Amino acid sequence: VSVTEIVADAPVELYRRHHEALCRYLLRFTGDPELAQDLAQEVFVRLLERPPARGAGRAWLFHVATNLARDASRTRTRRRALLLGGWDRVPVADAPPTPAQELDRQRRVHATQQALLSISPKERTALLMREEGFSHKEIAESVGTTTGSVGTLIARAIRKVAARLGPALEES
Amino acid sequence: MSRLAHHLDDAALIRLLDDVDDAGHADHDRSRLHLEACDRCARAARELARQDARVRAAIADVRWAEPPPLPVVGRPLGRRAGRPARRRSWQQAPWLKAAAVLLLVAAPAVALEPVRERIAALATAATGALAARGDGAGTATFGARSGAEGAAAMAPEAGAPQAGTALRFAAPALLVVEISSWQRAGELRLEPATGADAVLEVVGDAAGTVPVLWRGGVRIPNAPAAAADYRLRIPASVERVRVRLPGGSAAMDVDGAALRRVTRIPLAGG
Repeated sequence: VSVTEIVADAPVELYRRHHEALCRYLLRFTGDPELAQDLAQEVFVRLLERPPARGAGRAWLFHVATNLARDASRTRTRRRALLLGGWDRVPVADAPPTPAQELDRQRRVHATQQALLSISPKERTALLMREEGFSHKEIAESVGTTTGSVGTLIARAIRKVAARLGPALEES
Repeated sequence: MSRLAHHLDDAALIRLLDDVDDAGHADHDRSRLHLEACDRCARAARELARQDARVRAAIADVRWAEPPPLPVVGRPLGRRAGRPARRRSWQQAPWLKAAAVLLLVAAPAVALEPVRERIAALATAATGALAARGDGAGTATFGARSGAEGAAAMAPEAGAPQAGTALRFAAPALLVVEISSWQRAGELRLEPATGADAVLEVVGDAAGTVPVLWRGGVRIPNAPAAAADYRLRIPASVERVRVRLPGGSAAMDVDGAALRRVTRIPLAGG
């Protein structure tokens, strides 16, 4: 496969623009960095193998990613168990100034991931797609509901996650 | 514009919070007016906004430390010596073999396309990490090089396993090389390149190791069972190579004059 051949393809632009956001979304959705990377790759495999007739865009990528993540979460519960097993397994961000701050940060991230995993896939999709800047209409299409119901889904998700985060954050 | 008879529900509050006007201007404005006049709904809106801000801040913390590695897959150049090819079940059952042949004949060409290789190239093309250079044909892919340099590098050494992966890429000024594991044997060898690209070659028993390219540099996800050498040729544009060793060891920086000569970093044992 030559680079020149690939450059001519539309997926390159989609990849350039959305791969990172897709990985971030999938990391938050699944709580598993390896799985998130695998699924992001799988989305682009789908794009090359079976491109949608109407053309693929950002919403299509995230829609496929959500479906793959839901399927994966049904079959890969072991990974989730591993993740929930300890906060020290959580992949996190920039190197912190001190080990104590890093520890605190990892605890917070772990608590957030636990909270996200505790809500339903539909609620998680709505909450995380909103975080990625999708409109209520796009979220509705992705989760298969009406635009009017998206607000209810998001509000429910916010309340549940906030309730889970409350004690966890106080502890840290 | 009339006031609402009922209090605002969650959906309406979120629509106000997100400034979504899917129900039409009139409804949106009515909700807004109601919120201004109703203490109960205003309190509910403030509480939801407070929780929302907290949840969003928490979610924002869950992110990649650095851009996720690109799903780049090297192409093996040959089978390792000393390891017999795995016999598949269809090779042992004639009727399965016949069925497989029929399936192959019937399958559309697109199904046989090396999609994952295309993904690798897609990732590479998208980030501009891999430069299509050499013979000008624009066919630079992992494990496939052009000209005398490529031919020389791809030729198996005498007695060495006939396997390897080569990765050519445009390196940043600070090139980070991450090593996942100490190995049975082998070394990372840094040496100056003559061309403009960095080239990483995997030589020897890599035990399936395939280097992964990411924006900061290259990751070698090697296994303890591996015994390969990794030869990284560094172009003059690179100012510093940071080698992150396994097991949380401190990173090793190679820069200045050291980049103009060969540096060997043993990977055996640890």
